[in-house]
Amino acid sequence: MSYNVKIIKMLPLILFFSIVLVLGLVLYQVKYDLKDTKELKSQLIGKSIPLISIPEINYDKKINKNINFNDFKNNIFAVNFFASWCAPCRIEAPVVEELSKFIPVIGIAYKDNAEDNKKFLNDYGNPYDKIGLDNLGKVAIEWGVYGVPETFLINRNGIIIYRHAGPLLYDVYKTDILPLLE
Amino acid sequence: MIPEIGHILLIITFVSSFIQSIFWIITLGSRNTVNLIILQKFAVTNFILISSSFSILLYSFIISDFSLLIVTNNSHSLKPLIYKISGLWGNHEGSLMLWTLILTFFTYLISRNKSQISFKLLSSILGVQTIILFSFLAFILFTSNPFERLETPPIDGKGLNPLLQDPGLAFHPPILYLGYVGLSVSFSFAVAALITGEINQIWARQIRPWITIAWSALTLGIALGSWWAYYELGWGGWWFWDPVENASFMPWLIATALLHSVRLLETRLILVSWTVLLAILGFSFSLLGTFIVRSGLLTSVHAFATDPSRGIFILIILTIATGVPLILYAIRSSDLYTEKKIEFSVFSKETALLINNLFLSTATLTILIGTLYPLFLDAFNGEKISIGPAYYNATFAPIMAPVILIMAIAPFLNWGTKINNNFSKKILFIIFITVLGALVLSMIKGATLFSIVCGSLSIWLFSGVLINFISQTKLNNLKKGEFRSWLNQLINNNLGMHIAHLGVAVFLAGITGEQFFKTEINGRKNIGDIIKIGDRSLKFDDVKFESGPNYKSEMAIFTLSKNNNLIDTLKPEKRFYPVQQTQTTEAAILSEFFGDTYLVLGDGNKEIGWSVRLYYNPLVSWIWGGACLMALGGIISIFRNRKTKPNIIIRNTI
Repeated sequence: MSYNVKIIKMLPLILFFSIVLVLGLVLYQVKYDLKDTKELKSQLIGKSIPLISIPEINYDKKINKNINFNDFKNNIFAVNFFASWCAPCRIEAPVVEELSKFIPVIGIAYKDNAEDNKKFLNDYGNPYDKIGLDNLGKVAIEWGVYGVPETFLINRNGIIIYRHAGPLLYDVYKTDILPLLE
Repeated sequence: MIPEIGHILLIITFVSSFIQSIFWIITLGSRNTVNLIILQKFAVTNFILISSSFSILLYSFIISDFSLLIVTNNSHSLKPLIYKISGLWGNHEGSLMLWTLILTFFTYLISRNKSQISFKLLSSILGVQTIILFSFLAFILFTSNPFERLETPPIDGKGLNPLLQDPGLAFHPPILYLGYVGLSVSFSFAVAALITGEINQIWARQIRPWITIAWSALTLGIALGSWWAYYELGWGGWWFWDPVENASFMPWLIATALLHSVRLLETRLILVSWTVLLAILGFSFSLLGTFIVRSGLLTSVHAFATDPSRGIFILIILTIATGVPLILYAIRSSDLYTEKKIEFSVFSKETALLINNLFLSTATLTILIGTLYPLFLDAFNGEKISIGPAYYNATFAPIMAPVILIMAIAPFLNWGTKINNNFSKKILFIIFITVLGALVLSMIKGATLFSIVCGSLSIWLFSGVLINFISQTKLNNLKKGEFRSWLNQLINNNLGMHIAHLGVAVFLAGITGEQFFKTEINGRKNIGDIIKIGDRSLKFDDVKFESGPNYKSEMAIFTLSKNNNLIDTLKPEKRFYPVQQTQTTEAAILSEFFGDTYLVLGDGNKEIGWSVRLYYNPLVSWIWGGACLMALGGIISIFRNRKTKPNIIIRNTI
């Protein structure tokens, strides 16, 4: 058995290993980047509330009016995107209830209709001070909502200070939200 | 309990494939035929074990067993049965199961090979296949176990990505895998040839059907994916040079080059080590594609599970599976076969096939650069760029043009030095038809230089294929008579090749129509509006809100008519899937032989109207029609009977 190695025959090998080397490097970086992107950061943090009017659902009086955020000025309050068709919203309902004991919570019904929404609130409780309707999903886009449920905290100056995507669970509530309220 | 059996079967196969690989390595130098028989038996058992395990997973999907994580994530009890089944391979873990199933099936088929192939070569092929099986099983068991249970099973599943609920896509992955795994077979042939030092015309004859199967499956798989992108995604295009598309296109190009180089090897015994290299690279590119799609480097509809730890595993498999053969190649390929100096003229099949290989591999390289460069740039200085059609139009298209030019002529060139008698006559005929066609093309409204070039290439190829087909079939005095013997004669007279080349011509015609003569109308339209397309008119009739089985839909109704005669009703739709929180666009498409009317509904309401996009794409369905013809040609050529006896050259160096 004789070995007869020519440089030209090594070429594919050399090229291949350089590609693999770089791919490994890229992968290494992606692995570290992923850790940072796990938490969805909102572009809106540190900015004021988006200027989009939200029609209010009012079950008692049939008056069409928009939610006025000025009603909550000088108060910390929360904005919670939810929907009657959304299963995780049912899970977070008791936590939102708990939160509403400390600060006002505005609910925004995302792609929902008033009737289903009413039934949902009857079944799972109504922790909201006001409920807005976003049946086209336009408000959600303005607020950069990724999916329901999603919760925002707004400080006394009307600046968004916190955003949580996904159901608001007790541990998130305890570790993230309560310290902010204090 | 049942899923655990499936898991145990996988573990058993994993352990036994390890033992089998060791067995093969130990018996490598042995001249005892019993070893081959043992390896053949192993191939059968592996196939039985994996198909049982696969069936169990399939069963869990059919009965919607939500205690399995994979079923919960990818299925839903309300889904139609076909999508429950396709849910199995619509995800990372399940697709790997399908991959190994096809791998063991192919290995089983090779093990039954009863031709003149030597037992040493055959055992090495089986051995390499077993090692591939082993590494994929390790990948499945350690990073992507499909039988993972949930502690608290949910009441219902999370459904499949709604974009993936489409018949075109249900079959896109399995067919593509047939192609990828088919390339693993030619890879094993190449590695076995490097190990045993045995490469000859029998080798070429045996590898060819596998390359052809892989190539046809890749063609069909890519076409299905592109068809799905066109009909489902609503972007109005059919190919986007997306890295994921490129990942399947590169193995296809390599397979195409391999298909032609193996022909040279089979008849003339040249390009031996080049063919071996291509066979190795074909599978490497498949693995590279897998890596790009599944490592989390990219995010797109294709990106399955973006998990870097899986990426590392695939990178390791890729490194070993390509690195070791390439080392072997560097050491051994010069010893493989000392090519005799053969003589051939400039106008010979040899030249044509060499040019074909040169250009196809260069084309692959341009795509490789275009695909990897943005990744590298991102890694080194965080700069994000995207390489789009402009790059590929400037690099890939000009490289492929000569391939098309030669493709029309090559089949009627002779081997060696003897120039075909009627060569100049045939060439003149083709030129005549092409010039005529180009003149007609240049009279079409909106024709540009590129459209004429592209269209002329298609006509050039059409006439080339036609004259080839006629002359070759006449030459052999086609006997009329029984249908089957008549068909066999046709097949043996390169019917498959003619059809595949015709497919390329049809495909090019489709591209010419779609790229250069399409009309696009964008605008905000309200109910009652009328849009003119040529001599037809499209009227916006109504918008309806409906709910489907697992989605809510907003559907517009348009009527298309010509001179007040109704042609068809078009209903573009926007669907919202609440479970996944995703919205999809269902374009309304009226597909006709000479073109598609393609309508997409955007956002809007009754006050301001809806944004509407309308395309008229001439000849667009020819693109997929052409691809189907190519695949059909490939399948036909598998049935070709090659009677001529090969010169047997066997060199045993171990």
